[in-house]
Amino acid sequence: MKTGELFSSLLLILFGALFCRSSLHIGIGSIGAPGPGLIPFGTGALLILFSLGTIVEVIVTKRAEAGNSAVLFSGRRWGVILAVLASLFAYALVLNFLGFLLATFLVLIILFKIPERQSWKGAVGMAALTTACTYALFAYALQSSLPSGIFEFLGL
Amino acid sequence: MEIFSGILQGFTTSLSITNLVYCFIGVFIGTLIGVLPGIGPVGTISLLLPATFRVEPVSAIIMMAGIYYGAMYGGSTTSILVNIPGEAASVVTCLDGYQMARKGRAGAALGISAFGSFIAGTVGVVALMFLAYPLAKLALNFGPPEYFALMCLGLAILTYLARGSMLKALSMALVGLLLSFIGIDGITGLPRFTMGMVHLMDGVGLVPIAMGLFGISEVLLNLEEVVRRDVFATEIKGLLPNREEWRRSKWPIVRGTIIGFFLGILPGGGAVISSFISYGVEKKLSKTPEKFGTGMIEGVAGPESANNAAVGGAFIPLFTLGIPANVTMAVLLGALMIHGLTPGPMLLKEHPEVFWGTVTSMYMGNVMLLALNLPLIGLWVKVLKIPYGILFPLIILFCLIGAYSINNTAFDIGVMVIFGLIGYLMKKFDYEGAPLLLAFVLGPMMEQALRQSLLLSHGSFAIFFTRPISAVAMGLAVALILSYFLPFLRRKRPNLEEDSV
Repeated sequence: MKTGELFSSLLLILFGALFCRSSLHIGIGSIGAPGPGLIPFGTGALLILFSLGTIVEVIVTKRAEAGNSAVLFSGRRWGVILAVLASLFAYALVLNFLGFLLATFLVLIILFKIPERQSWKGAVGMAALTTACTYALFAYALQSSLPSGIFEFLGL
Repeated sequence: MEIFSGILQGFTTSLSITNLVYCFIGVFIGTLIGVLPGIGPVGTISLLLPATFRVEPVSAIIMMAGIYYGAMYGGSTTSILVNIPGEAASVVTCLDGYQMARKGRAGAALGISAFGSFIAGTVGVVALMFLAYPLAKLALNFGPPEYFALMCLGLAILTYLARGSMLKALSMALVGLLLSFIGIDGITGLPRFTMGMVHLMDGVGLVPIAMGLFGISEVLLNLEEVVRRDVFATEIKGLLPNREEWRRSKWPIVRGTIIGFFLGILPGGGAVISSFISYGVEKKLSKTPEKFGTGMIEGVAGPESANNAAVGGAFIPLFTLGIPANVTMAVLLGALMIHGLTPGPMLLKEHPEVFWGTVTSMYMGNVMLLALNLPLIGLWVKVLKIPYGILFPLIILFCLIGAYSINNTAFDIGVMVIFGLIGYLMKKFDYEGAPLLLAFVLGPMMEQALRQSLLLSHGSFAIFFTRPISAVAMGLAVALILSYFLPFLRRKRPNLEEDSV
């Protein structure tokens, strides 16, 4: 699957280019008197070079094993992956507001429910149990400070 | 004599009740995650890092080291019983270990891998003790050019041994370097590449990156397909190999130990590579190479010894030079620095208790592991039977809490999830995570060493080739990279799995 290879190389070139541009901005100095941007600039330039090299390599050698990106969208379960990723992002966003207990309980229901097709009852039960156990472990036994969010008044 | 007083001091440290408990926790968790799929020592050490903030540095390091070598033991259990390597370093153990189990010799396979691991692990630690001092002394004379050249060599070896295209592995190392430059510049104090985000002023965190690339992304990959894990049904009886099996395993264990230890020292080498090479050597030396893959005990004893001996070797560059030899060591380096210790030649002088305490604790750990893995094998078989649908939310939850509690900010959770996605896509497009993470840890040190070298030499790169040690290291690094582009050598590149992840 060549398109996947080309696409990922192009992304890397873009990534390198962004760093190069920003490096020029903060000043690269000279080789004898390096500025803060010199080495990032060189690194970014090398990244661009190697990614171009990957593109050439893919086109020239027609490697048979070149990436298994063909399977990227063929699997039936990529919906599950997206759902898990989305719920984790949501968790990061609402954690401080909802607090550890509520946010964790909710995200665990999703995680227990979605991939394995558990019953709602089972998922909710396991989520509650897991939340309680981890809270006890981290907040009390390991003394981690976890955000209490809207439950602050409870003093948890 | 320094060594003996060191050993004495080490045992005083490591035999204290607290440290014995931490050592036990470490090897126990190590075995557990070695058995469990979807999380390895890198993810676990990052995860537990915040939990060690209130602990003495030496206890924390003892525990984290325990996780690393404990995982080597646990990984072989799943290879033998389920034909699924719990750890990359146990991939080759599947070949003959699982076949032995099918022939009713599961007990002997588990037994020889535990004994082999124990012997090799212990020998590795002894060798580590005797090599560390002279090397640290030598390293005291190293200047920025030597350090820069050695780090280049480490990255070159790692990318050379990477699966698939070396260009891609090099690209990943460069991405890791670029990511490490984000944040305040150590020399001028100016913020770089922060895109105006306050959270990025201190740079991107090692823990969220490591857990994203090696924790979350693994979980996502495992979620993709429903893997059936059929635990081998027959009862495991007789964990002691018989006399004939011992006779056949003796030399593979010796050879595996030597191979493992020396490959472990090499930056970029490590447990995974040494287990592959040991398997290859045993197959080559065998009178019946065609029988490999059908349950030859040599194919279990050699690699299992090699991957444990590599652990001892891998600590040498970390403790003597401050350069991590592989990704797990890179995370351990991060952990040491968070605890205010700078690994390197000065560590042995200023904090001998950390070095000797950790090293001697590994004796204790190996004994504990023998006890954990032989009589208690039934426990780990039960762990194997936990359905993934219950396991993976727990792994994710621990990652979420671990990422949060490093700096008590939800921003790091976001970073971890992003790197989870990136790591997932990298697997899809055949890019490796190990060069990225190792380069990320080495990045700030490399940049500083390069800038200082250039200042010393008034801008001439010749400085790396006029000093003997840096010339050798740099020469090797350049040769490795160039050899990739010479097609006739390319066919000989070993096709190996990712380093001990």
